[in-house]
Amino acid sequence: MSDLKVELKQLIIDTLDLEDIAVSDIQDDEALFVDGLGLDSIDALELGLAIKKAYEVKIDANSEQTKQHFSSINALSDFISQAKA
Amino acid sequence: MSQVCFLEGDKEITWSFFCTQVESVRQTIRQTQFENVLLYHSDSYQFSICFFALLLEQKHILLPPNSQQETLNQISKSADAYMGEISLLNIPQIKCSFNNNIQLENSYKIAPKLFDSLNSKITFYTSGSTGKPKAIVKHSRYLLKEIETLKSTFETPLSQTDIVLSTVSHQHIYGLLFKILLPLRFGIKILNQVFEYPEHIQAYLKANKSKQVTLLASPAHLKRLVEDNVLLQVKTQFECIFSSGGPLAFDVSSLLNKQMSIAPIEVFGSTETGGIAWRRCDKTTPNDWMLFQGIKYNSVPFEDLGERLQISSPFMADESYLTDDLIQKVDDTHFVLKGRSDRTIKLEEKRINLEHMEQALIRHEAIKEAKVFILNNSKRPSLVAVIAINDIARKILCDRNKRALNECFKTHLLKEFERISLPKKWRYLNELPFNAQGKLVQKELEVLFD
Repeated sequence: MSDLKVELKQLIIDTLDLEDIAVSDIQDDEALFVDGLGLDSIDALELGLAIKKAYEVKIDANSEQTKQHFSSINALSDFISQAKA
Repeated sequence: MSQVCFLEGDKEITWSFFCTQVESVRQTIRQTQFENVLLYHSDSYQFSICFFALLLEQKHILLPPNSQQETLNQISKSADAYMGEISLLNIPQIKCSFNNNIQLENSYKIAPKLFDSLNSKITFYTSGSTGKPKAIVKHSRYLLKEIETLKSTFETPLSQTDIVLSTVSHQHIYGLLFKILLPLRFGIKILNQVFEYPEHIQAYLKANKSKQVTLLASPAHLKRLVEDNVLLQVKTQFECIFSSGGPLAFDVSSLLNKQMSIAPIEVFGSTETGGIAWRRCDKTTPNDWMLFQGIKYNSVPFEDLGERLQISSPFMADESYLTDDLIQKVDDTHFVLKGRSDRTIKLEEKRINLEHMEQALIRHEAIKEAKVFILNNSKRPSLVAVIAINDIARKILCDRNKRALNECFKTHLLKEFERISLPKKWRYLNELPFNAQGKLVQKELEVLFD
């Protein structure tokens, strides 16, 4: 597992104050919202803020693309790596 | 008045096209005998077509607040048919079919008439204490009166607005009034999109630089917006920001004012009463709430908690209505809000009756007793649950783990509550810690989450 992915999982747990979930419980390809990890739309806003702060990336102007970027740990890590590259 | 009523991305939907589609759906509805129609559509334009078609055919509309299956099932018991992007098995669907051969003369002049001929009832549903969604029936004439008042109260910002943008849904009364009825009645274009991130609003405004907008926001969005306000670069395009659905913290509204030189207009009301009062906090201390024109109020003593707000209003059928909001009287038209007198809470603008949720939990086979409440000591106030469990739950804990049991109860609640309303933290006990007087002490429950 790449460092960035572990870091992101920890960031999600800390930012959203998730209980009963450890880094190892979050699958890389699991959906973050609704099914899967079960995050809601307020979590999405909070997570967006945290990701912007931690990685100095910009949230995409396009709503569909944002949805895709935040869909799973894999997608989020690709998005951040590309934005930083 | 603009010939365009809705914007869908770059596509403009004209009044004449809209009215033609409404007419076409009216024809479909006329072929049926149904009187009570459940309507849910997340798309505001599609929703509006059905909404107007049903009202013009004098059908009674039932508006579910969300599309959770149990909510729909419950409400469908009072309906004869349904419309929209949902699926129900117990009642038939009225399918929207668009007849492209309809020719309306001067349909652009039909727009104001669209409102004049509305004459039917709408039932809203909101969280009550009974365990079932609480039905609130409203005749369309009250909604129309209310938008007339909103229009005259907010004349200046609205008359300079080209487009209304929104982060809220039209299935609730705030969205229905402000996002759909008010702009349509007064010829302001509606952007047919629910914005999730402020970045998307920024992108839209950058691409439409000549447009002045009014933003319909929820406190939940504004709270996150001020933390990293990406709308600064486009702030001159805002005529007005409305906030409603729940209380907006004063530090959020003053920070927003500092950042964007625009103090949000806060609207206070409820589904039962419609709009009651509004305020704009543009000073260093919070302003009092001011009643909308035509509304009168009283303060009614309530136990030792303070005084409850009682109003009479032209926006409702009842002569007067005693709310569960606590207030402090300032003068005949102004008051200060002091919280709630019952166990209904607003969490990120979702109205939740704690009693209702506890009853839903107790219906689960693994739960003996349940207590849910708001915990304020974490980063953001959140709903938490303390549950007295039985052997069924203990077996899940033992065979699997705590997360599995949390998920089990969340799945159960999701049948009637939205995901956003679910408890975030769970504590499992064999018995709830009642004291010698048979009471649950809040502090003792809170300690469980330290």
